[in-house]
Amino acid sequence: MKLLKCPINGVRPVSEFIFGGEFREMPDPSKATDAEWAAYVFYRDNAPGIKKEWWFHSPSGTWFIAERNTATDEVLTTYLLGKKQAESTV
Amino acid sequence: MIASTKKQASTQADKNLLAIADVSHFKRFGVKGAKAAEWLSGQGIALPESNNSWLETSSATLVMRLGSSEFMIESQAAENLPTLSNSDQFATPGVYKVPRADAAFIISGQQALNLLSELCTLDLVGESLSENKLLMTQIAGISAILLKQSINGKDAYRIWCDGTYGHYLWETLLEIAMELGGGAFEFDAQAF
Repeated sequence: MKLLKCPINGVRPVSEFIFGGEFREMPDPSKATDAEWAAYVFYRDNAPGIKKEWWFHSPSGTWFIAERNTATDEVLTTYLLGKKQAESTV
Repeated sequence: MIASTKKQASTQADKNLLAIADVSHFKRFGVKGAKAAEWLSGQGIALPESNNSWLETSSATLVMRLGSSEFMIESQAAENLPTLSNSDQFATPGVYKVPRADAAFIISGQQALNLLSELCTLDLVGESLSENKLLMTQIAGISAILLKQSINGKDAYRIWCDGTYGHYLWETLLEIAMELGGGAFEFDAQAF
């Protein structure tokens, strides 16, 4: 059984979670060029490696960030957005 | 909500082995928002200090802290609950009513943990439900809130799930309960 650690609720089966897509910094809409905005909206970097991803713990409604190596499926750390200092690992 | 409770209660069922009760009819109330804790305290309601924990007040009201600013309060008697009308929400910034239409069940008896072990991936034997902790996890594949409470000196497990899953979860609980020698009983706070 694959496990993932919710920063609030602890280690749980991955079946309790929903993948929310890659986490990417949004460019400032008032300053970004059309090309930068289009890249943010439409382009995805699918190269394998360590990615920041949104994950959702469904029973508690908790959104958090997981840093995951998409080549090995190893989760390096999970934390609430903006609270990486309280990070935890699986 | 579960009309079949009485019908399906088996005369062979041993309450001491395993008893499940549908308590969806209990009154419950949700409140959330930056000032929810302050508002509840102002209503004279004691609050659990940490997330994912609960306490029982002197009026047998359960107060559950589901997040830093979200609470669910449940009681058998409506007069024990605070009221927040829709108009109050606009008069009290930072306090929002959360309608709760949960299905709620109580499980007790010697086989209660065996039943839950068939439905929940977490090990509930350890410390996970100690010290007034509550779990938000999946039971029988659906999201649920779970806590362990002492009722008349006996361990009882309380489950809440979205009301639309109530019939499914009840049927699932009942099927396993009957396999384990238990069955459905009406909840009686004095004798459950």
